[in-house]
Amino acid sequence: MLRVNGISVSYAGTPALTDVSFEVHEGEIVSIVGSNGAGKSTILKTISGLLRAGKGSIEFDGEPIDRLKPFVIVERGLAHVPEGRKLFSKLNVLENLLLGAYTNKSPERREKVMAEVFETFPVLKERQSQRAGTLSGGEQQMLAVGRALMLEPKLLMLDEPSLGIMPLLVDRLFEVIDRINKSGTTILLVEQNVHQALELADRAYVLQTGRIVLEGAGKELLESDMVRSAFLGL
Amino acid sequence: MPDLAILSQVILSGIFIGFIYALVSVGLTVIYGVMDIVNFAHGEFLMLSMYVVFWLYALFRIDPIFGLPVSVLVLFVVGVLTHKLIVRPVLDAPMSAQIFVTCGLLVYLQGVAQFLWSPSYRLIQEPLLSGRLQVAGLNVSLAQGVAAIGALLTTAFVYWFIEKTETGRALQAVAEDRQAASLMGINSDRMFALAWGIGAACVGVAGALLANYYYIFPTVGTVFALIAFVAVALGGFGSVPGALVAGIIIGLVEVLSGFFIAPAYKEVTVFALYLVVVLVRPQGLLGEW
Repeated sequence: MLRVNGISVSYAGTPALTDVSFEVHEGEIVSIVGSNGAGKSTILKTISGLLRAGKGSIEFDGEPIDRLKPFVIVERGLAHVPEGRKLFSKLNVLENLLLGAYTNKSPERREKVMAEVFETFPVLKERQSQRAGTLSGGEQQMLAVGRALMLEPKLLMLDEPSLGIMPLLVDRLFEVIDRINKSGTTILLVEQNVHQALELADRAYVLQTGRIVLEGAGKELLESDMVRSAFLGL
Repeated sequence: MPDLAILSQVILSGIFIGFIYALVSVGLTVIYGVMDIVNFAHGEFLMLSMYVVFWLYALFRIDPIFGLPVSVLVLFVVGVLTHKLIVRPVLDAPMSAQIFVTCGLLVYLQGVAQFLWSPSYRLIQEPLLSGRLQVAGLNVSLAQGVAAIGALLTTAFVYWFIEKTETGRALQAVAEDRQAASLMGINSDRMFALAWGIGAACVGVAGALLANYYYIFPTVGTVFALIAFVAVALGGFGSVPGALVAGIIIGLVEVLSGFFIAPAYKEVTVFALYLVVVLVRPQGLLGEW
């Protein structure tokens, strides 16, 4: 479904990603783990068109998307929940969700997806007329995910969804991600929370200073010496 | 004790002109709110609108009332083109370039107007909206009354459009975070063009309404633009209700200080008020940040 071929990205001459290649197949959960500054967010931003790769190519559903503008890529069914959530803080919960469905013009479909989102995150329904900026961290993350789901994406990319929310909620959030996947959405997850991200993933990649250094099944990587010593402190 | 009848007459005229100020300011504040760019040529857009209506009248005998939709359309296009041809190329340029580009447009448009249409003052001699009415003991100029109501309705419409429609929501999203908006599938460049179109169309309405009773000359815009800058700062940058409230306040302050002190001082009080607000509440009356 998504194929990233040898992309290199740099910020004003400083390389952030070097020759990164990976794939996401339909129906999978793929995790990319790595420490702060390894280039995880850069990967997602490049896929969604916010950044341009200096080298390499990106294919989605068999078509190249690396020259397209972000708002065109979104229409192909690729949703990106960005780092820091990037909610529209002055707008309320309902308005944020409706913006998520901006490219999805059919009112019936919108209503249906909205009902599903409210079912997944009941708190969003309770707070639908509250301004996004006044929600708690966990609620904001739910809104960010809910907003992305409004697009009915084929591929949902999540950038550090566990960042800044209570450990208890992190578990719930990962359960929700699993459920979203089981209902048919392919997921690309980028996480610093290595343990949970690997446990959830069908396949995973380890990113270090802009290069992929390891790949394999999620559970397999959890057992690997490299991951155990570098990330889990074992 | 001033004569109450005269005082209420004065207050009414303050509110009337206040609505016009509000509409001109709404145009400015929409562009600023979405793009963080101040359109220094806003007054010249107003001037263009007045000339559109004037020439339709002078050449084809089309009354300003019917010239209004033409003016709105022309100004919308002028706004969109300004974005595409002048503003977009400097979006990533330093702040000073963004300021100078619309300042340059101001000088250019004034120059073109002087060159093509001469510096003479023009007046639409016999508009359909002429004469005066007696309403509840007040003597109301029909042209000014209609202009005030038209300005208020247009302001309300712009507010409704931004707050209640899908496209308005997209405008707000782009205003807050254009990257996040692009991840929703919103083409921010189109929203920028739309904001310029709406902003300019606001003075397209205001200019056509004013042309019924106001002198038309190449620098007419500066009078209104200066007031609009004050109103936008007073009401809060980017806030449509703020622009409305500020427009009315300025209209009232102007006429009341003219009445109680002296007409020559009316601008002094308006700008004094502005300074006080900037010092005491720099985000403006209804500003959010």
